[in-house]
Amino acid sequence: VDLLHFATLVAADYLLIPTRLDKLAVNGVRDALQSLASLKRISHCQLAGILPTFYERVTVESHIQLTHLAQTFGRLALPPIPQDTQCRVASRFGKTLWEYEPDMRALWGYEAVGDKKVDGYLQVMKRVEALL
Amino acid sequence: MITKDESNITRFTNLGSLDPAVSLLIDQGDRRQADARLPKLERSHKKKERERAQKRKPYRINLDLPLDLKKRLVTQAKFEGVPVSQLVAFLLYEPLHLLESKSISLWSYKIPSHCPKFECNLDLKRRAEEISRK
Repeated sequence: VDLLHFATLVAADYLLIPTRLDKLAVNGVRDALQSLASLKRISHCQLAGILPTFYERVTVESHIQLTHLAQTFGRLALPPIPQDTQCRVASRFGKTLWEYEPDMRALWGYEAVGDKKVDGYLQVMKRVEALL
Repeated sequence: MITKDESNITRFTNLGSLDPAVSLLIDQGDRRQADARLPKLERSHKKKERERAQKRKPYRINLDLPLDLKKRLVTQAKFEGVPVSQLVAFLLYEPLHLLESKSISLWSYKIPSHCPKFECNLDLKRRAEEISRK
């Protein structure tokens, strides 16, 4: 963790921690929380949530790590962002996800029940907007 | 979200409950994993069953019926060789129409309810006795 990282934590109001759904990345969440806790005397930064990314609903590891995050952090574990190759392509074209492919899975999420979508960036943005 | 109290100690609130979306995804994942352990034939049966249940969902309603009424409905449905829900729907058309057109009234059967959700309950016992006398 460098000086710029600490300065950001001091200046910020909220911290959103993105994490891949694998063991080492999830351990990194703990490190980020330790950094936040070590600055509590000089920082007002609050944890807005933990954002699981690259979620693959068919792999067991994604499921285990999501369950682990949810059990550890409860409501702070936000709906995951599905794995979507279109995200990588969008950055090659220098476009935002909305500009490149507004219907992409990373934005709208998987179909959970019937045609109800419960994950993806749009769900996360709703929660962040509610927080702000 | 995390909040801080007067003593500036970081306090986690509502950590016990999960985000509903996350909870739903975890439940689905658990179910998917349980299904994956089943034999192929059983898995496809379960999938079809789930799809059928999903399609039926808008038409479903849970009712609490007196036990004797339930038994009689099941017996009659078996006797006629029709599904219980269709028999109930068939039997309901007329009294419901009468109630909507105010030809019959529930007024005399209403008794105060102790439940905050409903103002009144219906005296079903009395209704059953009246009908059995006819």
